[in-house]
Amino acid sequence: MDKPALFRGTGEGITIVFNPDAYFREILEFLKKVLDERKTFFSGGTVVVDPNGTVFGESEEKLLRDLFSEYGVQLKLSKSSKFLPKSEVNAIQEKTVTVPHTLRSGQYINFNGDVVVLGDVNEGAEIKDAKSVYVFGIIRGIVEARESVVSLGFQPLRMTIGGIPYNEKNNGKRYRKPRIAKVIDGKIKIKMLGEKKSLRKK
Amino acid sequence: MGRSIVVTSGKGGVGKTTITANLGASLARLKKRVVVVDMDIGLRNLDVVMGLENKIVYNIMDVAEGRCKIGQALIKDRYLTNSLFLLPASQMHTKEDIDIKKITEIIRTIKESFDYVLIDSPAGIEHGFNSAVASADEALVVVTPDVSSVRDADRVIGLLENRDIEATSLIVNRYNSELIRKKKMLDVKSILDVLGIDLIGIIPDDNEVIDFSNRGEILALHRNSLTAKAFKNTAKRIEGDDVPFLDFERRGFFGLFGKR
Repeated sequence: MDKPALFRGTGEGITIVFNPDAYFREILEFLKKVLDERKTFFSGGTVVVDPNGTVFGESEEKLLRDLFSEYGVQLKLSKSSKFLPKSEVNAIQEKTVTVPHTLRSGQYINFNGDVVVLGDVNEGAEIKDAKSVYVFGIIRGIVEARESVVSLGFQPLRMTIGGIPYNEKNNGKRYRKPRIAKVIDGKIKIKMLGEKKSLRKK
Repeated sequence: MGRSIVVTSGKGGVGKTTITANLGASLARLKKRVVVVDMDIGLRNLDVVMGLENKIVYNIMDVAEGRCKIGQALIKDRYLTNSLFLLPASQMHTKEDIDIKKITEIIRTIKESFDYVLIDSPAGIEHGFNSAVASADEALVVVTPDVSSVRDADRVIGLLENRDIEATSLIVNRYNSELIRKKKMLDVKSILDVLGIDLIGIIPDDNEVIDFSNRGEILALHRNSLTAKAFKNTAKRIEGDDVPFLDFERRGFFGLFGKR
């Protein structure tokens, strides 16, 4: 399967089967395109969605339902699978997704586990709802993580960690060695990775 | 409750013993009560470097094996008689004879009545090293500006990470600004690039050190030289005073283009 989703006609009507290797965002965009092109064909009807082994959380399900309701289409989940609530998703998968290139403007990762980017996160790119984000480059776009963010430079359009927003003006600092941003005492602090306590008395 | 710091390096001959004695003396000069402990069982040297070899009655193995109390084994320094003490190693035993539990208990007891316990670790990463580290809360890693030493220090830092060591800092010893300028020696930046821990002291390469060792005198106590100042500054930093590094050192930081 090389498309993000397949359309199949079944006894239940039209079933959309997701490609388990696709990122959710890719699936969403693909579906939007199809809905756009075939507005009249779908509207007023019901469509069955088969996640096909992919596991998505509540936020993804909501995006899907919102998209379809825009086109007047009702969504039904296939009997054979279901969307899992977010907490169950966390329990099942300690997964990491690796983006093997710079995340460009317009590209978007919505993934519940850790996200690794082999490149920069450019302005106009977004990473949302990740556990931790590890960027082998500079962050200029939007990054939202639950635990920590590692990169070689923090110049984000917007960055939140565990819900706490990042407020410093970074004036283009670019580090030779990676830094980790995490929440300490309710504020986002940026430290050297693996920083150890020294002998200097506090 | 005092602080117990192990002085270690992995590589032999980089200056652990000299640094333990001089740093101990410098801390004592800052009005702290210090015990330096020689954990190089079988190859003891700390006593020689401090000129106290004739004063040894009991050693750490006597305490561990119950033949005497700690107080009986402690030897007062000849000059800083109330603030610097030595707990010597045994020359008759080998490192295999060390009971880590007993040694840890001894160090813990000393910590209760003193501000600093500096533990001179043997070279290597075997039982002797393990015993020295087991009894310490913090670690001072000694490195000289050469690749072998840096590699060994890296190994040691990795090992320390797996023990209950709550703080680690680095001392660069035998710093020779001329050789560094000529690129015949590693500069501090290259060393820190690899080791990545806090730098707390840079001690210059000083010909006087051997002379003082041979005579059993502690350099930091008798000279106002750059080397003595470097030890004093290191002691101050351990005490929390953020003293900037001395000029000879800064030359090395910037490589060829230093200040004169």
